[in-house]
Amino acid sequence: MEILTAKNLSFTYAKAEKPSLSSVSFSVDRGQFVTVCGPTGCGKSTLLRLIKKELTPKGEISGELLYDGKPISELSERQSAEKIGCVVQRPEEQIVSDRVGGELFFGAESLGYTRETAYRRVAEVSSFFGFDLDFDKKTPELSGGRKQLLALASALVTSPELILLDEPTSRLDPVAAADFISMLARINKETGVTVIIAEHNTSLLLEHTDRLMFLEDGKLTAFGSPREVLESKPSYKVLSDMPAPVRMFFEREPGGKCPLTVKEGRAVFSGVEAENREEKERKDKPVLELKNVFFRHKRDGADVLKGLDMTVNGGEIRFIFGGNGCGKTTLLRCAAGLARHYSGKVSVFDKKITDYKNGELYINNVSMLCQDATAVFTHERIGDEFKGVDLSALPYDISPLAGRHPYDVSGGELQMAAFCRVMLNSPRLVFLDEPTKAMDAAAKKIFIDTLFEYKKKGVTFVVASHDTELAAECADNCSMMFDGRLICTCDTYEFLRGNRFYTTDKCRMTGGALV
Amino acid sequence: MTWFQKCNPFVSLIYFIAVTTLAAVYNNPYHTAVTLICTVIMFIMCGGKRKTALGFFVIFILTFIVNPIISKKGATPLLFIGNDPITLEAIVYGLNSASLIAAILFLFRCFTEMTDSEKLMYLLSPFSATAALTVSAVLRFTPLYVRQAEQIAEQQTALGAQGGKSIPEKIKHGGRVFSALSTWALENGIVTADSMACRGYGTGRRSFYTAYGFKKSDGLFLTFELILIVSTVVPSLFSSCTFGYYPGIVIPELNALFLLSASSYALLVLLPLIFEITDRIKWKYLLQKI
Repeated sequence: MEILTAKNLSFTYAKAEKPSLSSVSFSVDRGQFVTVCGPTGCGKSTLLRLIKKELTPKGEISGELLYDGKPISELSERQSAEKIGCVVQRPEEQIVSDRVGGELFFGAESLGYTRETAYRRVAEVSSFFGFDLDFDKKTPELSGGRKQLLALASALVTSPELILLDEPTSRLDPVAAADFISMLARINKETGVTVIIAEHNTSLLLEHTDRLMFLEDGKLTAFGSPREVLESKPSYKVLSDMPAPVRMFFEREPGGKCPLTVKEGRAVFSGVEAENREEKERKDKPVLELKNVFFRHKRDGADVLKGLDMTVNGGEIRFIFGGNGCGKTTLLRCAAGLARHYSGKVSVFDKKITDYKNGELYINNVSMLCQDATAVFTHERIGDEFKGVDLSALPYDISPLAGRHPYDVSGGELQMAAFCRVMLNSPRLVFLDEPTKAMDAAAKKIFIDTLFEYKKKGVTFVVASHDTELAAECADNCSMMFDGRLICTCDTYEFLRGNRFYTTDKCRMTGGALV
Repeated sequence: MTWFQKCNPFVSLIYFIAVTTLAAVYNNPYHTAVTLICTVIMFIMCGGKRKTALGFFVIFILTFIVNPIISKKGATPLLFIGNDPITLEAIVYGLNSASLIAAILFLFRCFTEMTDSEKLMYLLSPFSATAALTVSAVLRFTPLYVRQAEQIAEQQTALGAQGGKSIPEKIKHGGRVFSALSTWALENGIVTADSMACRGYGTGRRSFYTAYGFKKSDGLFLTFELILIVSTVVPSLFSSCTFGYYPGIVIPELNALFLLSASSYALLVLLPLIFEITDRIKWKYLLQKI
């Protein structure tokens, strides 16, 4: 039974020249798990916003979009709110209440359920998600992953038939993302709620997906079960959104059935031989040294850095891995002089960090890009941050973005523009905190190229990240952070081969032959 | 103050309103002193921080000093600074207002310490579910704002862009940071508004479920509270409780009515402490039984 049908659906934003969606047709059956992918700006979000009438932007719509055989526009506000649930990208901003309990009750309160119904639904959902113990907790105290689960849980309180999710895991670390997706899949399987999820990283989703939808420039270029899509000669763009087993299958063409999961991939690729690797011999001078560094936020708080030692050599790209809240960001802030350690020694370019006065540390020496790239921009147009600079001469040409507002560009573009801005003071040592968080495959590629461009010029990078595939492509060395210290530091290849969890899917499938 | 924290919010709200209003209306050293002592004890029992108390003390001192210096009213000059008299009355008045302000600050601190958003929303919800929601949203956003402001400031430092050395440049930079923060806040607001709309906000009459039971002890507290308010206010209507400061100090007549009113007020202020102590004793015995 169809729950959602689109016939020649087109949409053009008000004041836009090009349509964001052009004649998209598909139909989704009840209980299906639909994954919508495609590069940034392909129309994924627009499609989801058209399905949820409260979020439908201003613009011109043509064609048909039917929910349960009725046009979406004819659904009453109440029906739409009750029957179609929604979770968006940013866990932080979509939470309305300051208490977990209040958040769960929000939907029921808005729809004016009776006390009995409301309590029953909330109790059920809360038990299912394990929010019972957190019920009185303040929402800002939850971790990002829990926040996103809370958003999902509160969308489920009204017993929707369809759940829309717009890149729900793009801001989560891999462990939280996996938790979220498995919970979503479980809900889909157990309660039969239809799921439509837009995401550009499909590695976690493919095994649960009934229908894979690929959008490119507003056009539906592929639609069908993952197998159907992959057997119909997918384009390069489709593949770049696919998980590692699929990409590797199409790169190496070993024949047989395309593996969708790491488990299936292991069967195909376990015999792959290791590549020859050149031994890199680097003996550059250390540019950053941390010795026995201790840090805590408050005098009576717990130590975040507990006697941390780290040495980074000139021209190195160093990645730092570790669970959420292990102190990666704090480490970067201490090393960049933005947070002051209370014991130990931090020296940058053979000079104690405290000896840099009047901000000279940040002129031609050190810079940092924090997690939220919007914090870089204080002007209304991106171009205004780059006064007197030839934009097209930058390693990443941001001139197309110059006239636009920082909030009007995609996450990946914003991140790239912020990165360029950070590099503008020609720092020699740069700290990046999860620089690729909101990037799709194409943006990541651009990022890596730009990073190498600067590396050639001798810039040293220290990157806190969760992205092992990114590290495999560009890091020289990787460190593992745990309990306020760096537990191990070694060559990226050795690092990824030696790990079971913090490693790439490629490495997992080939038993460490490739990373 | 576990008892007071856990009691029905309406009961505690009436207490806070009554105490602050009455203390301000009587504006009498006696009432002020009772309120100040009591609120300080409550503040300590709420787990109030020494730093906050110190801040209040500074405000107290400032208010206390400023009045005699500025005010030239009063009939009894004690000393002269230049040609300006410092009068006894102005000192007494200053002391009283400073204590009153400090007492109210302590009381407010206790109130915020005891009232979380859930309680505020519960209090507001009979009047307007929307107002209740607004409070909750504001409470949620405040810490987010602070964090984002810190992040922007830190990122700007890392960019070496704290603005130039001159003051106009610094102000200009500060303005830009502020505008960045506002833009961020508006952006966030849109996401939150979307999320609210998604979940049916504004489709009909909102309901509100968070419940605070009305225990026997709440009823008891409320009864005492109302009786004491009446026995404070009514006698004072028939006998002047006003304390005169200027031009000369006039102490109200210590008649039975005044004493009834004043002692009722003292009891009213002490009420939460009495309940707290009774509750503690009760629990101690309960625990022994268990």
